[in-house]
Amino acid sequence: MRRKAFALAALVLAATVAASAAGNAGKKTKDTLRVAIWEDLKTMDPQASNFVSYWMVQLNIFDKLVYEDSKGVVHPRLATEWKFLDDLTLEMKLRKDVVFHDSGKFTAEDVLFTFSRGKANPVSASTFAPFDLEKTVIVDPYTIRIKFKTPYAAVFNTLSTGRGAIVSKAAVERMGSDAFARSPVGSGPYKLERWKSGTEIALVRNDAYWGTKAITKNVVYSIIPEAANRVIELETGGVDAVFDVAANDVKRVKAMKGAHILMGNSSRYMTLTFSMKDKLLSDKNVRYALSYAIDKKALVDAVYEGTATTANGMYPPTVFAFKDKGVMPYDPVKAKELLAKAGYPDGFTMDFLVENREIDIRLAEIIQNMWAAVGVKVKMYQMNASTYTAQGHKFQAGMRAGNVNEPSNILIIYDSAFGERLEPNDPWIDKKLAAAKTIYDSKKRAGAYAEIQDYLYDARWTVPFAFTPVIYALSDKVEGFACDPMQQVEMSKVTVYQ
Amino acid sequence: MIKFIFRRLLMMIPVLIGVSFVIFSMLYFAPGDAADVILGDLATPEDKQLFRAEHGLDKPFLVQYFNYMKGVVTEGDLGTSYVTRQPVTIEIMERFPATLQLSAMSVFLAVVIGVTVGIISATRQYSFIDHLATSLSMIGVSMPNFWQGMMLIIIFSVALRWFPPSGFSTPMHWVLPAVTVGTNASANIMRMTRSSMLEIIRQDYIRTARAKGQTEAVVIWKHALKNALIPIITVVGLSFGRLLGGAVLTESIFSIAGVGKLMVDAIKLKNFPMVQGGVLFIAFVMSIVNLVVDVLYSFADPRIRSMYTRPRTRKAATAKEAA
Amino acid sequence: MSDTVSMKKRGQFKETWRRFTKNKGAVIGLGFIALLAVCALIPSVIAPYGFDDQLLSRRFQSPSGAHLFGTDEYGRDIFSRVVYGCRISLTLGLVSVTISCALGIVLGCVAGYYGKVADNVIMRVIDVMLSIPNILLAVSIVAALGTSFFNLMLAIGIGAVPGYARVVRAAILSVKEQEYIEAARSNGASDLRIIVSHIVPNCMAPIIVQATMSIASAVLSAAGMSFIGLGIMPPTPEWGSMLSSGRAYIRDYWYVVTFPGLAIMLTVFSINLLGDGLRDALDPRLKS
Repeated sequence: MRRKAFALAALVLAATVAASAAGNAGKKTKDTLRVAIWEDLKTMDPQASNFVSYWMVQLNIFDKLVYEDSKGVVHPRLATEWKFLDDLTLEMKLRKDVVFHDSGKFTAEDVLFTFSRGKANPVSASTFAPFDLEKTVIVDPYTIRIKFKTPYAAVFNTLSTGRGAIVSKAAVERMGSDAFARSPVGSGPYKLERWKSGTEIALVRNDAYWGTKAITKNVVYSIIPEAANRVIELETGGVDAVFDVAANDVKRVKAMKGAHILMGNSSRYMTLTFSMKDKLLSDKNVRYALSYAIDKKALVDAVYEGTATTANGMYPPTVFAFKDKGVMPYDPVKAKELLAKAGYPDGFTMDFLVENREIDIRLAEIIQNMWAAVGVKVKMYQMNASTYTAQGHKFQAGMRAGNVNEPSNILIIYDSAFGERLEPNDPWIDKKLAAAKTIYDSKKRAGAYAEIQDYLYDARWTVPFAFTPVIYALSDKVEGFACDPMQQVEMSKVTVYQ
Repeated sequence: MIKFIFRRLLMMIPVLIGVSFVIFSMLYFAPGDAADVILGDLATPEDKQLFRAEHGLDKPFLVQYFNYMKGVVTEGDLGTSYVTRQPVTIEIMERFPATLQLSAMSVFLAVVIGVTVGIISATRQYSFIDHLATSLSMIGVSMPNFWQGMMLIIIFSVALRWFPPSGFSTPMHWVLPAVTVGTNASANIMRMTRSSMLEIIRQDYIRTARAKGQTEAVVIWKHALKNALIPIITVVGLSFGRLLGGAVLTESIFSIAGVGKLMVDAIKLKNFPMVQGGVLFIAFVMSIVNLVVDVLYSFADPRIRSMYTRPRTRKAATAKEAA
Repeated sequence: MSDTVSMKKRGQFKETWRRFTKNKGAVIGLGFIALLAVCALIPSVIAPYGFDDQLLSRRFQSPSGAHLFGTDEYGRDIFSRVVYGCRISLTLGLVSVTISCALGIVLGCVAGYYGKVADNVIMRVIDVMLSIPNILLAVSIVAALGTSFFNLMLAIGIGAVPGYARVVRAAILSVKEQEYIEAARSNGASDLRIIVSHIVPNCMAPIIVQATMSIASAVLSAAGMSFIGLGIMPPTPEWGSMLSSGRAYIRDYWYVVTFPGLAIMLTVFSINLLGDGLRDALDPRLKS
């Protein structure tokens, strides 16, 4: 009990204390930062990437036009200034002093080329869909006038997340996309030095960088899929920083000498999804019964050991226009009543698809048990992430993790055009989603999303149940490691002391 | 001998074609479409159609298989990974050194420990050492090696800090995985050595050798071991072959980027070219290992050697199979 | 005629049993397997809790009188899960061995008895199978057919076929030319009859030994498959999947992985003891 209280206190501390640790002042710095990450990248091509884990490495190699912070303020990067000429036209002025890693000069051609790659790649196509590239004009090498087919409220989000990373046109054309994906040419603070697939990715400082040059010369990402092993590596001095610490390792790191936990809110959430083309689940009583049957708080507390919060809305509070709807209530008695009302007094059996990640399976086993308590049996299927996205729609119920920081991208799963997962085919929601994307005025846009969230909460096509934090474990010798909700940590700002 | 090796190399061809056909058909008839899996649900039907056309997935089964084999035979091209879009050959060669090294070290460890302990056990049957060794070897073959790997990490990485828990870059990194993989193999080899030595020791010519007054060491290490070698070589060959693609569990516990893990990931992702190429490659290496094992047989046993120089008789073939 | 045969058989059995019981290890192994079999047959009588009785307020309790092996990350009684797990592991071992045994015997008989073309073809097929590491073969089969209990047993069973085929073929080659076979043949017995009633019974000894040993390796392979997530789906209490899901907690709660691990080890250990005992008993040549 005492240990638990200590752990909790430690968590609170960790969330508030900044990354900087006392006692490093005046010490010499090391020229290599070693970081443990959980999976290898399949590609270094930003427009072919749709995983946070890919972007978090790529962001050190590539630059973006702008950077939109979590408060929605847009900061200049490769673009120095910009203005909307009208609702469908955005003019951006570009930096003139930027060179790519292969010494080629950065111009508006590269920007247009990057957009066209985004549109062409299925992985990024939906986020670049509103861009009208035929009408987009390169005014001069450092000015581009971007045209949209419809007003695009999320444009700065698109430009500042991973898919918006600017690639060198000359390099891609010279090497071809496949070779580029292994030896990327960007303009970021680091260059790719070596990449031993499945083992490590080593970056080296780009001394020709236009901005503040990286503090630490080398960054080495070690790929260690087992969460427990990542922490053991930190403990034994193999790495200086660990991404994605398991909840049950948090108190161990806190107790460790010379290391600490850095934890903060994230844009990650867990939700249950129900297929609306399924006869059983298209009954609202059934969906409510399944929602009532789950004790979300007990579930989240057990699996995340107190590090996550029970979901009180349709998407995480870190995302624009979040509306607090309260936690969806737990009431097994009511669940049984509703099942009886729907014509299933003895329950039924359904498929339940889960991504085969440790934590997801753990959540699923508890949910399975809670559903069984009201008579609903499930047949569980496990798939890895990419099979999951491809096959998800073939199953009745599923559990998915979302990790996106823009409402239109989160809510895309409810869109009929997207189709393959929930398939609600609800004209009202389609209309509202399409409309919300085009509202530039943030107050009005927030209003539109609030309305959508009310509707979704009521429809119960999904049951969001957990908002999970990002958890890093750092050596006390590491400074300047910023806790980003999407794990997009800029390594160029990190110092490691001896 | 050279003729024999050449013939064996020729015999590998139908086996490899068989392997490729089995794996190809298994994957072809597996549910799930590669285009779905690789492109994800964000792709449009047109994208998927394009992908299928680009990779020839819209062709009939036999045509696909034929095209694939044509590439393999004429250009040594195992295809391109759907996932990373890199040549399969490059991906395998990136991972193979670690796997080969892990297998070789484990087998070396296993042979040294297994043969030595096996001989000691056999020569002192029913002694305390024999009982201890047989019990330990029994535990060795019974222990799930992923469990053993986890325990080794807890003891030697976390508690004692002697060896790093993951990776495979320096000699210190090699120890725990090699021990994990080697335990099972050495237990097997020890058991095989012991039982075949026990059988040999009772044979007449050993008695004769003893009667002739040769020292016990000469009797055991020269006469007996030489004759007990065949089954030992078989077990060594088998373990080595098995490790080349089968050390998946150890690789995942110690985060080693080896061929086994590559293959299991590829199978889960339905990355067909990777799976086909990988299995074919592993089968090729295993065939080579088997060939080496057969050549070693002939060094160990003159009866078998004579089989290669004279026309193969049924009796000799039987002797070999029985071994 | 049949009387003398059965008498002779009974005498043989007695002799074998006598030799078997002299081997202390084998008897211990047999005893432990009997215990597992009881657990597998009537788990609900032995286990104090159900295998999926979750209680989140009861997570990670150390072993005690109430929970002999402690409780897991869902507050389930580990002892009960280990007991229920016997059924899974034993079924899996027996069924997969039956599959491989049946296929292996047929292939081995045909190859050994008919020789020539049949032998060549079958042995090349066996070579093909031997060139694919068992675990990769099993993983591919499960990937192709989908994850289910039966497919897992099938995948593991198929991987073990070459072992049987080789053993049976070698055994047949060694008895095929003996006089009593020639005698049967000259009496006009059909090939099938000769194989079934004369040849197979005479190579039962190596088959039994091989079968026993491969139950052990089937249990290990299944645990391994569950460990990489291609085995048995939760909440079924398979020992390998218990290890897999408990491994995150290994440093805090030793009992979560220790007991399922021990269960696998002791089961495989006793099956191997039994197998060794059987081999020695059936093949007295090895005993001094």
